[in-house]
Amino acid sequence: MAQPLIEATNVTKSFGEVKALNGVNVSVPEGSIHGLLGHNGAGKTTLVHILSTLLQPTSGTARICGFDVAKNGQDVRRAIGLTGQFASVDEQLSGRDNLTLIARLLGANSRQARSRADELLELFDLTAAATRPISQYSGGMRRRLDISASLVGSPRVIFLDEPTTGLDPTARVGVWEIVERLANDGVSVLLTTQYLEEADRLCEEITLLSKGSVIARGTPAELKADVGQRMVTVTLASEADIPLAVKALEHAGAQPNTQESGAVISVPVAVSSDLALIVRALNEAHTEIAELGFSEPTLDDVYLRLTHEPGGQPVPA
Amino acid sequence: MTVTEAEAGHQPKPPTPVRSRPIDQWGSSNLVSQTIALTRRSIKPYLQTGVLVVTFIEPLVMLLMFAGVLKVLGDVPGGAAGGPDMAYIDNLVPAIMIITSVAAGAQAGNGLINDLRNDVITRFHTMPIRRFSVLLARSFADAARGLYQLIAVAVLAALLFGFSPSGGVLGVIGAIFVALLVGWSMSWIFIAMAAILRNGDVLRMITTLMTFPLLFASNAFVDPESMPTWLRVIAQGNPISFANDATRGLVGGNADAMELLLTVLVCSALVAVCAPISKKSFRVM
Repeated sequence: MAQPLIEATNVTKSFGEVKALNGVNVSVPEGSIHGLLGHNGAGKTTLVHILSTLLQPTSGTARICGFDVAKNGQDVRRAIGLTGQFASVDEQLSGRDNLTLIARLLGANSRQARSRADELLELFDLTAAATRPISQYSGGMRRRLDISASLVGSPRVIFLDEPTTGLDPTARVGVWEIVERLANDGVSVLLTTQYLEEADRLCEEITLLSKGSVIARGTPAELKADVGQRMVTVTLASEADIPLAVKALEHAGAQPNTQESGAVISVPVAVSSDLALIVRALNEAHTEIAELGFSEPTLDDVYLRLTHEPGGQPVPA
Repeated sequence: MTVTEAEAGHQPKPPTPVRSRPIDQWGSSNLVSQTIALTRRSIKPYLQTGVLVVTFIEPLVMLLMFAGVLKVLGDVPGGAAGGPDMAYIDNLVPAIMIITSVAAGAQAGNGLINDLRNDVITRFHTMPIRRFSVLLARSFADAARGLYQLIAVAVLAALLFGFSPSGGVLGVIGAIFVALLVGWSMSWIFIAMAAILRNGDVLRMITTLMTFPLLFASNAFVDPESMPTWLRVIAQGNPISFANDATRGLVGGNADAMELLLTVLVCSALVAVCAPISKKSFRVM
């Protein structure tokens, strides 16, 4: 396979006494979307800042398109686009002026800059708002402009630091579609997120960070199979039926968990057809279901699993 | 109930603009082109009508205040700066020019702090541009604002206060340029402090603490000869006094080449020291 466009090898970063990154390895091939998943303070943003030359690694090496971020900063900067957690566009300028400014800085003359700006505005559905100052944009529009600003120079690598944090569901889906289109066109995307759902939907590979260390890595399917399962939560009409229901479910091959009180049973399921199995078992036991819920594992489930079980040690890179 | 999203249909996706690489047709980008683009960006907020009006009123207020309040001193023998052979207003305007320009230059520090708070500077740092262009642009934008105010000072003084110095229009234009140079070179002190401190509150305190004695413990308003000894020593050694002498000379039509040269030298030295410090300290995180 071709050389990865993003490659971090044993990267550490210390801020004084605090170790923000503890020997992290990440490798992203061309046209691939890689997810850095973790809570606040896990080190996601620090890694993105190192890869985009804003910070120097304390040790280890990082290369973008083969260029060392510590030694060939300018070559790296020619290859990347960064959309940070906070809008990195000028509030006082209009959408179009922001994009033309960036094009001018990259060497376009005024006609070229204008045409590039209009092309991007069109693509990101911002033409109608082109002349309005950013301060009047909605969160979703701001994010789209921010991403388009990262694309002015046609970078081969894009960093998206929590691109959907704070967005409403519709705007979130809009950003997801943009990210998928970018990868389709051969851009390597490294995105950080706190949402397992987002990483699951977009990423070919996920690196799970906790306290500056990689604690798991794999495809979304691998990770989920490994660490978390979907849960079916059954609320029975009567708490007295609990023992009966548990027995019926165990008999059907499920592993029901009950809480100390209440008529709630949760059952881990692997495939959606297991749901039918649960319903049938409870019906045959003549227990009445009051409510039935279905939940995906959350990042918290993944964390709990990985940090409380033997498999939860940091993987040696 | 949630169903897996995997089955959701795949619509044909339009290509993103990364395939077509217009950047390949673009010219090369250098410090000059980058500085021009960024200066235009920094000037833009100054060009709003409201801001332009307030920026114009500032020197007007200063002229009214000083011309009105301090004119009294002109009647006191040896009380006002300059001497009896010069109309007080002709003597005052060159000093106000220096004050105006230094105040505009000091604004560059706040401007940089505001820029840092705005994450767009972070983006600039991830782009293949010379980072120093951001600082140069900052200094030029505030110099442009200073120039606008200097012209306002000269025009208002001529129209409202009978400012008609013997140096004529050329002398006034010369004084404007010297004031501009002084303000621009002083702006690098504030840019360097902003880059190092990265804190607007502390910077504002230091700015006030610095500019007040610098501007008032000088020969701007009162002849140092009439000051107590300790203050006179300070005022006579104050570089702002030399700058005032230089602009007064030009406006009065009796410019002293040595004074001008000294002013240019001090300004150059200031930039030569502060600009590299700013460049070295300038970072976004």
